[in-house]
Amino acid sequence: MKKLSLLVFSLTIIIAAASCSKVENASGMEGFTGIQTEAGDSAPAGTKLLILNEGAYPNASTLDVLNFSDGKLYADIFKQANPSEKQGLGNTGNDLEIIGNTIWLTMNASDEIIVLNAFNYKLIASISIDSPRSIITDGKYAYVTSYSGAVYGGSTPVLGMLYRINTSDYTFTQVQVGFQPDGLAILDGKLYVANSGGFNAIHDNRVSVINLESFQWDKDIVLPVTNLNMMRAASGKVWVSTYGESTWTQDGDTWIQSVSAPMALVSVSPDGTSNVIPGVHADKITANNGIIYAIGNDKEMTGGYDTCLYKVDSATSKVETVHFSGTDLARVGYPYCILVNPDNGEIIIADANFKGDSTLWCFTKDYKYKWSVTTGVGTGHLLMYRM
Amino acid sequence: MLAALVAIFLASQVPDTLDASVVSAARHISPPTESASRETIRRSPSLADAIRDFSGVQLRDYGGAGGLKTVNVRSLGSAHTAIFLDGVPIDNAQNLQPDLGRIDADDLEAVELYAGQKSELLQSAREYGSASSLHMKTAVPKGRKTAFRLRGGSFGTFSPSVSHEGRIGRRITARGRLGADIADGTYPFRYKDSLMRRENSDIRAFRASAGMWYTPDNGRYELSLRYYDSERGIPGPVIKKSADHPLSLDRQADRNLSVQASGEQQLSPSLRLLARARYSRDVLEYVDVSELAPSVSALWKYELQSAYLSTSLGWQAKDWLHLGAAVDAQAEKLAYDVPASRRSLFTALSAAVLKDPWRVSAALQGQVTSDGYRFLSPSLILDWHPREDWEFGGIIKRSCRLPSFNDLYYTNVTARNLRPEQVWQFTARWCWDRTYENWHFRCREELYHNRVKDKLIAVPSGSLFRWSMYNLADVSVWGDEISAQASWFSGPLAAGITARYSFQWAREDGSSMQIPYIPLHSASFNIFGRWDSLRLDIRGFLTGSRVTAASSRPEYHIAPWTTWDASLGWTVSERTRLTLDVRNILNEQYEIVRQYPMPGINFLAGIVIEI
Repeated sequence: MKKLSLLVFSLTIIIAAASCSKVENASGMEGFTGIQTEAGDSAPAGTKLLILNEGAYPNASTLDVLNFSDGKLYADIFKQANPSEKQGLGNTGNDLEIIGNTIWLTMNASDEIIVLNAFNYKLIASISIDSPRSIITDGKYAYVTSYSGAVYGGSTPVLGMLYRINTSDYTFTQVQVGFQPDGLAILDGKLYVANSGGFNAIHDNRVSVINLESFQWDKDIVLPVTNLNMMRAASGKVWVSTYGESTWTQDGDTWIQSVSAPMALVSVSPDGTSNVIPGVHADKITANNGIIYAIGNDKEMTGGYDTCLYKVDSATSKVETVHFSGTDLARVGYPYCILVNPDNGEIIIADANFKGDSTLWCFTKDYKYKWSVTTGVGTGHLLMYRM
Repeated sequence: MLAALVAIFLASQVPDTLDASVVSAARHISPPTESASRETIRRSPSLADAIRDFSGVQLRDYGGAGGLKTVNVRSLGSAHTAIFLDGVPIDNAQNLQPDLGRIDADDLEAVELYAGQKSELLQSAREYGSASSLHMKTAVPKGRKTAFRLRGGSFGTFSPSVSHEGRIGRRITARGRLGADIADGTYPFRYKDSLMRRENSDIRAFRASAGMWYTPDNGRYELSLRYYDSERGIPGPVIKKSADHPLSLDRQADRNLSVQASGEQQLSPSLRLLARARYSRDVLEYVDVSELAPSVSALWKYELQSAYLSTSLGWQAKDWLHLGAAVDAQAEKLAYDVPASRRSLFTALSAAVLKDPWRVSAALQGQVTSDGYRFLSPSLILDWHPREDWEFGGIIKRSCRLPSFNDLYYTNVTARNLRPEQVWQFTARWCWDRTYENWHFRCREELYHNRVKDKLIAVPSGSLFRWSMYNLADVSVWGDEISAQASWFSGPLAAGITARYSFQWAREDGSSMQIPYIPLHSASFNIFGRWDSLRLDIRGFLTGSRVTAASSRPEYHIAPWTTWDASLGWTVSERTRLTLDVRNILNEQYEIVRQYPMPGINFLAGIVIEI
């Protein structure tokens, strides 16, 4: 994954530094209470998986840590590390990022960004940002999309913001982007913002391009799809997923909602050309080693269910469709997010039905079941890091 | 409305010489599971207060003056409890159960809860349907009276009302009432070690009602009209917020108008006809205000119209055999961005055998709707009264709740495939009721098993904008309700105690956890003492721990809570009564619904003057 690949080179020094100071620390999680799981095995020392549970609103979100060194799951690490912070992380965790030695978490309804120490998970800072959504870093700054106080169906459409936060003193500046911006990607000195417009009657179809150097709006790229969602960069392009669209039609007494535009995956080139990848109906995406992994429903347009994993080669746009049914992947009931382990290509999928705890499933490259772990309610965002 | 007011004015001109002749001695198979008398209702500041200690009832209360209040009976979910006012259903197809906080309790004579089925010999087809039902009866005016009532106290509560009732001729009585409820609704609460204040929970509500009752020989007729208009703040759940960011600025306005009529007539010595009708128009305006940019808002307006018509015929075929047939039609239309409508036809056939000491009733209700639902609800009720002081009984019943408009239209795709949520209920009960000179004792127990199939659950299907409803779960509930009551009367002195305990084991198939919001154990106590014109009531509520999701994590665990309320009533004279309520005396900080803190200690004083 992009976030990890960024880390791999920048953190080698830190790993060395950390391992010096923690000779006796076999797990690096001393002082915390964990539950033994079947996960973890040959992962390189210090590899951890951050698991952000959105929570069953209005319950607060929680952060779990799966430590591959000892195979233990450390539930609600924020509370364990910060017992005096009675209100917890806040609501609703929407994204997370590693910046230097810190973990940044966006808390949407709490209008806050939480910054934690990535070694001991102690709270370092809470930054007040209006309804933050996605976060990304270029190593120097944190960039955060914000809905800026828009309300669903509001009479006055409100343009969203992109915040640039200084990672040392947390001061910030902002630039206006499209409606209800969500996903972010960085490519060749430019920052790409996926605007959803999901709160407006007519959804947004623009990718805002921001010049990183000047932090100025550069241009908008108009896509042939609307309601843009997640974004990743790979092979000199940015990859955008959409939430899809639905419309209502009347059938006698009954109004029927049907999908009018499927969830889609679009590749966007810096020159502004875009290409909808045929046959991909997905909104949850991740990238690893030049492959875009996307999870969606192949029978979306007909109202049926055929949960699929689409693997898209970012260089050739060639699609491999893996139907869950008939494979071990069928164990996943409600896929809510996906991560591919960059060390070994294993696929980790969070299964969240929001009725209760979630399950994190790990499958090998060949889609064989490897392990599963019970995580908090609404597991929605995953990030691997090594320190 | 004008006609009714004129009638009331005329009514007041006629001296009250005659009592209303009570015609209908409603015969039933088994008594209500729980009931509150006129005296209890009068003492309670609201309807929700009057039914709080009913066994097996979970009152869902979002707290504060304008907080939504609904009831959930025996772990089935509030959608399975139908609400009837004078025999007419007042629930709706949008969200199924109306807010009990809006129902004016002042004129009610009785509130009865049937966990299972109301089983009068003559009743409407709808009354055979729901898994449980709450029936409210309006008191019929008895003579000429003008009453002024004022309540006030904590949360800036100011609640005046005036009513006038009287008689027109021998057979017609009428009543009119005007009232208002005003409260600023703020209260302090403790949230995770911080002392905070509930804001944006003010309410201003106005109500008006008028009713007429006509009681010819062998019949009775009534017509009533009600109007409710309110505007309130919606404080929302308490969540962590960045400094200087308010929790919620949302507002809601409601305007409800309803007119209902019913008539019952003995056609011949063995035939009796019952007809009921209702029209209602409910307008709800919700203003979603951006906390970050208060000038930005979204208005959501829903206008629900409903028409209901019911006729039932009862035939006393033999001394011991009663047969009944009923047909109800209901049309509901919701005007909104995506309009919704449903027309339903309910039919019911029933047969009752009454041969002392046995009473048995079997009924079959069928339901057909314009959006394609068909459902059959059979029921069998048994009652055995071997001795004056002992009674045994049982119910077997299947019922359903259809997906509401909210389930169907305001969640997401696939909704068209939703099946009704079905319930099988099995109940066995006994009751012992005896008076020894100055003492009265009553013990009862109900054991039940509920089986819910195809429970409707909302699941997010990937993002903020796309939630889906699914028929996701089957649930089993095993329960036991026990209550014991002892009271003593001697001249001006009286005292008594009622203790209730409820056990509810409710699990989804394949889950090792109790379903959300249902405590395994709950109990209540009610102790009263009376000396001449003074009466003191102390009520205690104990609710065991609950979970808010199927998670063993501590944040999904709600701690047990206990509250104690005291109420002092003084009947100063025939015409004047004073009450003082102190609620939550121990200032318990608790939540009924997650992140909706309930108020600590609070006071309410009231005066009623009748002339």
